[in-house]
Amino acid sequence: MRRGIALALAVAGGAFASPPRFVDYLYIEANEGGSSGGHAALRLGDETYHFQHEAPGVLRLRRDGSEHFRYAYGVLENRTMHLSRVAVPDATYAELRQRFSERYLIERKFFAERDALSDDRVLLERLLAHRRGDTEATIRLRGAGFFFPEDGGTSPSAAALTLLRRVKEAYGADAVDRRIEQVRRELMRLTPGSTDSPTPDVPAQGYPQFAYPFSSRYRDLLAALAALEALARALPLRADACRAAVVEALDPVEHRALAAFADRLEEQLVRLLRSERPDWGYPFLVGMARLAALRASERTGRLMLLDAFPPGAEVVPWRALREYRDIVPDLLAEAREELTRARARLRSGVPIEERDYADVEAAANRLLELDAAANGQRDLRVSAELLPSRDAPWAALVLPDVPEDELAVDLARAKTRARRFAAQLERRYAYDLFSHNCVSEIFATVGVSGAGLGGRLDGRKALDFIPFVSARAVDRCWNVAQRTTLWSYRRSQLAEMYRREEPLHVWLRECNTLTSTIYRRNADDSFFLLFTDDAVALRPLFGAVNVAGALGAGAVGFALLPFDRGHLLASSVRGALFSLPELAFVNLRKGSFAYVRRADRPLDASPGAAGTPGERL
Amino acid sequence: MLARRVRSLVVSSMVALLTGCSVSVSSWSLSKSVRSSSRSSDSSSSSSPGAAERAYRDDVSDYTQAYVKSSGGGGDLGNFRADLARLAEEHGITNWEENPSTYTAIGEGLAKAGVSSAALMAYKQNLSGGDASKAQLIQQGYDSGR
Repeated sequence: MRRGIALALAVAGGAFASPPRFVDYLYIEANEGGSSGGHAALRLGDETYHFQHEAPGVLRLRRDGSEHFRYAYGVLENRTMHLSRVAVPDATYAELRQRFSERYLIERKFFAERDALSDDRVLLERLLAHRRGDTEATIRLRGAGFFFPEDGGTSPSAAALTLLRRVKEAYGADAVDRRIEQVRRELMRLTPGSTDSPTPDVPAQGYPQFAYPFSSRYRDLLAALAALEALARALPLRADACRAAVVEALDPVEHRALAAFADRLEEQLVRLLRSERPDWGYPFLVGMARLAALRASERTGRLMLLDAFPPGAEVVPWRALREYRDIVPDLLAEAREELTRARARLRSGVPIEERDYADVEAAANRLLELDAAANGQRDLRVSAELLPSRDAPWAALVLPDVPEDELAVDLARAKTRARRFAAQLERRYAYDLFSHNCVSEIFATVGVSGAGLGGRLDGRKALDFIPFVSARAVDRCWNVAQRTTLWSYRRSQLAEMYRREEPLHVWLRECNTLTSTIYRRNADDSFFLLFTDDAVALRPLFGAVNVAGALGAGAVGFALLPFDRGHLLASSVRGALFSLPELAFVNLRKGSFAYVRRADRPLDASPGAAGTPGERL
Repeated sequence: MLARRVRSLVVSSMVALLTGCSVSVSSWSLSKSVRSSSRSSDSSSSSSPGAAERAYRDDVSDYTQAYVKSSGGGGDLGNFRADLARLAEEHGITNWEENPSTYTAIGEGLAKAGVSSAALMAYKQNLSGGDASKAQLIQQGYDSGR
């Protein structure tokens, strides 16, 4: 069901030199928890920008694929969205996109600098410990985990031996040894003081220009050293770093595509060794590991893959996965489908590039992980993005050529710098419900470009900081040509049922969490009995039932305290709290979903949907 | 007095309850087990063909523009390369130097930042590493971005 209050798409023929572009303001209805005030976002084609309140109390600009945003908020979070569409000339669209993109890149750089300064401290602590004789002190080295620590007794890798031979042909027989020496000297010369600067300031505007952090330089050089060592000794992949995909064998076309890619990768790695990139070590480690996996695929005729899950990937415990065992076949089917799509590129006849291979690698890793978790009854690793980055502890630290006292002083300075910078950043990006929230920052970023959208809006004025009110302000002040409602997952499913079945029967069955066939209990949701998103007139009454039900469940939860570690009690208290606004007609209780089968997802028929028409989200 | 206190308690409780701008679903983990969250993957079920390529080019171009504008043309290229590497990784690319789009997008970004022809020459020389085809791609991007 889709209720569009469609106004005419009033685009005067002569107003735009080229076909108009569209800017969509999205108001996302509330759900319980951190989203109980609603949310707002700006969709620019297949990118959606939104400001999210995150720990430790900062407001971060996030950029999601529009299709993913709709799936995460509209389906999983089960929140209805209201879209206000403005047609703008190309120039306005480009300026808006540039503003949001630049702000996103700037923020990203600030937070990366914060992490790097924190890493300076960690690294200096390790170096100081090493200097004081603690040889156990190690740092984790990204990419090194494919080769280190070495598996005992394995013979050299044929792929690495060929690569080594080609490097020697290109740069001379002692090229690798010379490079090792050079990197080692650079590492010893590198001192914390050489990149020392007072606490960097968070500039008011523009892309920040910070000095390259000591820890980044050090890690880059150490990764280069690890890469050179792996190459010089033609180290094979660790046994646990490479797995065979759980799919049918490669067909001849795929086989040829991968072999050709492996040949190109080999040439690229030879060139990478002479790159001016300061961080060439990590891509070399990954490239060399992929080369070994690709050659193994060629040899075996099966898709062999690096483990692409990042270190410390989020884990869904087996006991949680077990609760969803009925949907595991659907998860597996969807993962298989994603892999088939990615593999289609191998059969296209066009030479594949790194990203094409990375897509296959990621999709196959997800499938493999799911299969292993489901069949091996073990925890499931998950990650929104996959890129091989397996790390390894590195104990062979090269100590900077500075006295111990100086290192200690550098450490003290690094601590101060990291603390001060983090504090500056937290002040700059502090979330404030009234003046610095998801609405105010969209309007602030739109800023003067708003002229192309209509009147200028300020999210700090009157009640415009409330997402719901802001949508009205947008409709009033911007040149909104079309308004559309994108129904939440449950509401769209209900609409389907009302069309097919007897409405009263559907309503009675689906109005509550106990007999609903659409909703299944999600651990993220606090206790509630009745859905109130589609029951406006009855909302206070339903809210009262929810409060009473939650209090009753709380009493049971209190009794169960020694047995369930307070889960039911906590859920009930939250449930009662989040049901209170319903007494005043404010809807929060709509439930959410951990996963929705692809066949049950709504079609993404929103105007300007990024995907293929008719595709499910 | 008591009534005012109760009222203010109720109002602040409601405000505290109705905070926003966060996601409420933490366990969309299960969905992450089968799909990516970004637009930088063409294999994603409903990405339009070429979307990943466009997304990468846009990002590199925007980044170049922002970097050059802010550095006034005098920035450290080591820093430029390091930030570019992080950006490329978000698009599934570790070896960005071998991706032709990188250079076209850098050229576009330089054009959008309004760098002069003389400055363009310097960037071409420094970023192409003496590879004429890469310098040519930067020039192409620059010409198309003007």
